[in-house]
Amino acid sequence: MTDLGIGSMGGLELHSFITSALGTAPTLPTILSAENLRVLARRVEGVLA
Amino acid sequence: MKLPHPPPGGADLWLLRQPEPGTCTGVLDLAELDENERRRAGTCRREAGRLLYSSAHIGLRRLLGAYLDTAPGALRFGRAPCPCCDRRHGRPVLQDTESTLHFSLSHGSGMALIGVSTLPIGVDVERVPTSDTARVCFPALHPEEQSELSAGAQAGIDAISFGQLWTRKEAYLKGLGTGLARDLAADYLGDNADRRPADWTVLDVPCGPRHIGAVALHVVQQPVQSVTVHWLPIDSLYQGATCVVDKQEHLLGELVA
Ligand SMILES: CC(C)(COP(=O)(O)OP(=O)(O)OC[C@H]1O[C@@H](n2cnc3c(N)ncnc32)[C@H](O)[C@@H]1OP(=O)(O)O)[C@@H](O)C(=O)NCCC(=O)NCCS
Repeated sequence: MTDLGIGSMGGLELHSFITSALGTAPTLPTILSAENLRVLARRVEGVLA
Repeated sequence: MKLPHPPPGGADLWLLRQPEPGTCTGVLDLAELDENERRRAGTCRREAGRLLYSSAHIGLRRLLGAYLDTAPGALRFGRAPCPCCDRRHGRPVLQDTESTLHFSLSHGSGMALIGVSTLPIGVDVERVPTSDTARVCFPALHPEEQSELSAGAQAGIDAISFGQLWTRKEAYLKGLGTGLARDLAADYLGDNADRRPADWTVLDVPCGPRHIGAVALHVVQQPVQSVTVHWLPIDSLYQGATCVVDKQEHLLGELVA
C-alpha cells in the first residue's frame, strides 16, 4: 500500500478481505480509483455506514 | 537530447530502479512536473513513495520530451475517455501534439516501467507477490488461467507464475484503457500465447529477481517488430545531469543488483 492509494493487486486483496469480513465492499474500481489512503478509508466507511 | 522514435511496430521499454532511501546522490527537479503531479507527489508522506512517483513522472517527461524534441516541462498530459463510461479518466495521453507516439507508465515497490511505441501500449511492473496475495487474488482470474496455475500445484499457487500472469493482464487492461474496471475473468492471459486476446501481443519483461513486468501492444495496423528494454539510470534525472538515457550495457548489471 502506498500514500498514493492502493496498487491493483493490493486493491483486489483488500476487496476480498472486506467482502469476507463484512459481506459487502466498495467495488474494485472504487477502491482503486481512491487517489490516496484517506479517500480510500472514507469510501470503506461509506460502505459500513 | 533527442531520441529516435521506436521503429514502426516497435516499442522501447525503460526501466527505472529507485535507489534505497538515503542513498540518493542528487536532487530531482520537481519544476519539470505540472501542478497536479507536484500535488500528488506532495501527498506522499514517505520519502520512498515521493521519490518513486516523482522520478517516474520526470523520467516519463524527459523520455517523451526527447522523442518529441520538446522541453519536458512543456508537455501537457490529459486523459482519454474511459472505454467503460466515456468519462475522461481513461489512459493518460499527451495534449497539444500531432505526435502518434503511444506511451504507458507503471510504478510501484521500488521500480518504474515506461513503454513508448508507435502502437497502442500498456505496461505493468509489480513486486513479486507473496503466496498469500496470490492465493487471495487467484479466484478473480479467468477459469483457464486458474486451471493452469493450479495444475501440479500441491504446495499452493506459485507466486511468480501468478505475478507474471497478473502483469500480462494488467498491461493488457492498461493497453485497452479500461484498467481493472474490466472484469479480471473476462480475458485469458495465460501461458498459451495463441489463446490470448486477438490483435494484441503480450510479452513478459525481465525486471530482475524481485520484480515482474509485462507489455501489451495492439497490433491491428502492423505486427510487433522489435521490443527493446533500456535502463533509465536515476542519476540521469537529477538536477543538472546531462540525460544519458541509453545505458543498455548496464541493463544486466542493474537487473541482478
Ligand atoms: C489504473 C490502474 C490499472 C493502475 O494500477 P496500479 O497497479 O495501481 O498502478 P500502475 O503503477 O501499474 O499504473 C499507474 C499508471 O497507470 C496509468 N493509468 C491510469 N489509468 C489508466 C487507464 N485507464 N488506462 C491505462 N493507463 C492508466 C497512469 O499513468 C498511472 O500513473 P499515474 O497515476 O502516476 O499517472 C488501476 O488502478 C485501475 O484499474 N483503476 C481503476 C480504474 C477505474 O476506476 N476506472 C473507472 C472505470 S468507470
